[in-house]
Amino acid sequence: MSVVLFVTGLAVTTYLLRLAGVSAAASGRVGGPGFGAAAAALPVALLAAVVTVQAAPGGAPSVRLAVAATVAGLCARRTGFLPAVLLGTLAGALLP
Amino acid sequence: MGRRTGTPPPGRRGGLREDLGLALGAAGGAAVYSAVFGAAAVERGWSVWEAVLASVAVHAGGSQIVGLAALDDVGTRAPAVPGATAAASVALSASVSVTVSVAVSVAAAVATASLVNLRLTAFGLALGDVFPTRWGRALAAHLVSDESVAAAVTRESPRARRRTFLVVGSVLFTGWVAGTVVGATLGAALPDEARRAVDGAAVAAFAALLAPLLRTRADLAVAAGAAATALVSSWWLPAGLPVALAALAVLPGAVRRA
Repeated sequence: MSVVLFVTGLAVTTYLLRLAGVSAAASGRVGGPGFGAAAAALPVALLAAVVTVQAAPGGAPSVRLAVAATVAGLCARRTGFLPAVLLGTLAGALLP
Repeated sequence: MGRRTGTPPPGRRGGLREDLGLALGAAGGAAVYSAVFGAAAVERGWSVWEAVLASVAVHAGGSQIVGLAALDDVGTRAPAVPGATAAASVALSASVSVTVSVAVSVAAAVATASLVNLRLTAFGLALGDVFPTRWGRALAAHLVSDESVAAAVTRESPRARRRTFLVVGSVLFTGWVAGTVVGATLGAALPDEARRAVDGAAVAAFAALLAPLLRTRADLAVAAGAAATALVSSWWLPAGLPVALAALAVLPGAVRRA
């Protein structure tokens, strides 16, 4: 039940966020002075936090997950997204 | 869904064939990414149809996986309801406590995952004059993604932008849902050892999305601050809140530096 509630809530908020941007563009409204900086920093902050939380479930770092994240991150610039994910996953899976 | 699509230089007219090439490339990457989501969702106890419903209704990869992690222990953190020997009033009180606890956790997970999608508002702004009618905007809004907007804004005319947006957005959406179906179905059929690797795939996917964004010292400072805040706060806060807190904590500093 909680999954259905979550999916419904997220679907509604996501649609409204999308519609807000499209509608604001059509009406000529734009964000304030800090909007650009916040929009640029937000994905970095969120992704860094998510990687940390995923690599340290409950605040306890997992070596296997940390290695998977590190290898994928290091490979991402050179190999692109998909090979980096596969290499990171492989590196993590090789550890006990 | 924050991957690079290899879009053509700004100002190109681009034809339908070029749009389809862009769309298929983006959809292929999206399908793999959404397969990771589907497998991770099943790994965490979601049914296949719940995973597919999420991809159809939300259609925003980063937030879906963030929400997956945020929702991870909603069920396990709820206090146990006393058994038959407990007094009825105590049982009722505990039941209400469980309901409130789950509702708060779900709301926190929705709020956290929605933060990831704030960027979609910015992408919608970039579309500009592509959909002049209210109905057009209402129907097209669900296709707004990093890839569809990035491809559309490279076209010269509103008509070409509209066509590119719809082609890339539609094919991407199809690939996204199809990938989830495959990942959720095969993920449930995999042995425990193979499913264990899915956890590594999810964190690897996020790390691979994050690394290309770390271009300057300011980016590194934002990432380090968010990571430290998330780690420390996860020792005390319930799942979902550390990510939201970390993002909100570092944003004011990032705006001041800009």
